[in-house]
Amino acid sequence: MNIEKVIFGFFILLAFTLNFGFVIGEIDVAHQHDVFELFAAIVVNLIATTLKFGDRTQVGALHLATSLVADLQLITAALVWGHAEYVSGVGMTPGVTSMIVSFAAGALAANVVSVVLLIGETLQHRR
Amino acid sequence: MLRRLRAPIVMLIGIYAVAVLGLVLIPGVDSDGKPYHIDFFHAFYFISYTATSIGFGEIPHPFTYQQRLWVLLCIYLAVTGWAYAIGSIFGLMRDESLRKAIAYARFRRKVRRITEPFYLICGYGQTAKLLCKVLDDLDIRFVIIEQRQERVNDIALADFHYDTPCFAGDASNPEILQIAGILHPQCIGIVGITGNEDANLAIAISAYVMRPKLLSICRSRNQSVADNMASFGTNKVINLFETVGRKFARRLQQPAVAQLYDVLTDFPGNPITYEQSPPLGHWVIVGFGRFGGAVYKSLLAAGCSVSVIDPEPQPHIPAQDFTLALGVDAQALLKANIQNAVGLLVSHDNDANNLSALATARELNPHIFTVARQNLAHNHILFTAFKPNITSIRAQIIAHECLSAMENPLLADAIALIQHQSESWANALLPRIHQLSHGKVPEIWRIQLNAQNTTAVHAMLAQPVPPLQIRHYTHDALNHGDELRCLALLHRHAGQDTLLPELDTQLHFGDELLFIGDHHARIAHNAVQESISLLDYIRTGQEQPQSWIFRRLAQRQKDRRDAAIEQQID
Repeated sequence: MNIEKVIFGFFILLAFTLNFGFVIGEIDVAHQHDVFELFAAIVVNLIATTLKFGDRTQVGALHLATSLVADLQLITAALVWGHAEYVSGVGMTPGVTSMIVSFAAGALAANVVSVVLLIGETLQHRR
Repeated sequence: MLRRLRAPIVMLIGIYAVAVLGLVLIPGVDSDGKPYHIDFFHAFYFISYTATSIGFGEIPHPFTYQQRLWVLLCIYLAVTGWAYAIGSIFGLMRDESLRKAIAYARFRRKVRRITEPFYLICGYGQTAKLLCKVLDDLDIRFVIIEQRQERVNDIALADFHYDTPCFAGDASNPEILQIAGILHPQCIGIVGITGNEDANLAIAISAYVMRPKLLSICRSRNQSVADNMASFGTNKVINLFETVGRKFARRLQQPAVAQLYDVLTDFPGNPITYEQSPPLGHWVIVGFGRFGGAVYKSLLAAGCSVSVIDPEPQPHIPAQDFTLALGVDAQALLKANIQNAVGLLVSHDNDANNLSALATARELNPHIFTVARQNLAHNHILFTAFKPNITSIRAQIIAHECLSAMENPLLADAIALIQHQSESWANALLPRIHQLSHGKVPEIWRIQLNAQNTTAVHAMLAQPVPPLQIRHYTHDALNHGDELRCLALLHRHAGQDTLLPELDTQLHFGDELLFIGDHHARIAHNAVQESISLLDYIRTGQEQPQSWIFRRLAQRQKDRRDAAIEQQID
């Protein structure tokens, strides 16, 4: 067992599951989507991105790309949230909520690709 | 590289996440005394300015005891995290391999962006230093590859006019030659003058394989390597000791021609020095290396008797002419019959021994003609103080040879012709050259009257009347009415070379001219080559109208004048 692979897989899966946990629920109901979960998802995604630095293979590049896409989408969701609460002051209306959740759902898609890549890579090296 | 920054970045993300999360979870008290929770946005804002030690204060309300306790912990954590991250980044930047990679990429980019013709110089020793200085003065660009890093640092301090791309690498590696621009369309020549014989040979081979038609100049110390280089099509192989020997032989046999040769291959702008020619008679050679050997042969060929002093036994020299000694003491010099000698050559590869032998010999025979070999350029002061009649400095000889091969191929041909001229011919020419640029070594340039020269196309093909003569080139196109200080040294017409062509020689399309003269003359000739109106001025002595309207007016006036003349005739 390679400890580096464990950490790598752990963060990628955790990023995926946290993202999934945030997205699940009615798309326009604010109380079904927890702000702490979004925060955790962003932090874990950033860490996952960092762990993917420096891999020069084709698969490594794709890994990094999916992670960057997920980061972008999740941070956008957080910015929309902050804008609605403190700048425009409209609060968590169904429209704003569905916008945030759909951004997070986009990140989820990227995270799914990441997990698929991870599994595919692992199966390739099966011995 | 990023792989090495993984740990600090992950650590920073972790510290920020924990700090922000803690701040959000710990309850605070607002101005009305009611409990509240800081939201994520403000928590992140607070941690960002606290962690970077900017510190705007506690917002939105003064903190409670619990919050302050947490923030205290966060400050120390975050500052440690930043210190670690910044330390890693700086450590990475100081990393030798990374710096090399950056230098490599920068060199490559600089070379690729060169838009003017340039030479590729491999090796930056004493010879290259001299050569680069002169090339820089002549506004010629170059790229340098040098094996040793400290010499590359010298280049940065050398203060060239242009930003000279230089790289610390092995020039015998074809990949490095390639990034240094050997395949660059603007590369006009490669010079292999590294201290390493094998590297020079490798450069000759690479140049031949990669760019067979490129001008290549390489230095060698022995004949077999020189022959090997020549077999690879190297245009000019400079065999140091052979060059020195040839030069010496020329001085013995044809002093005036040798003088002319020296002036033409010297660096432009240097004062012309008149060296005495060595006398014929009995000679003593101290130090019989390859240098001494070359001179020995030329002395024998000129009919001199020669005694040799060397610490190594030399089986090729007759025993009565040889003394086994270092040659720095009076005993050995006396045995070589120094009192009756006319000349002395000291050619150890050690400057201290050379100076010592020189001093002893001067005491024994004050009127002796002395030739000294100076090995290191920085011993110049010592040798100047001793005043040998001829000082032969290795680096300088090679730099001169390189320069004459680089400047233009026409000059090499001219010099080859000059060597077959008589002493009186050379003696007649020398004062004229001396006059040209007030006792300084003149500049040498070439004018090609071919299709690339638009003014030549105009003067030869479009409007061949009046015919262009060499005389016209002595008119100053920039200061009207003045004579240029220049001399046509060679005229090449249909493969036929003429030295010192007559002024009324008519020029034809495809001809080439080699001029010597001062800097102003060179600029004036360059201007003439680029402007048809200036060419017409030197050709007709009249300023030509440049714009369409003035040309029309001039034509009309001329027609009217012609008509008036015709009427008078009628």
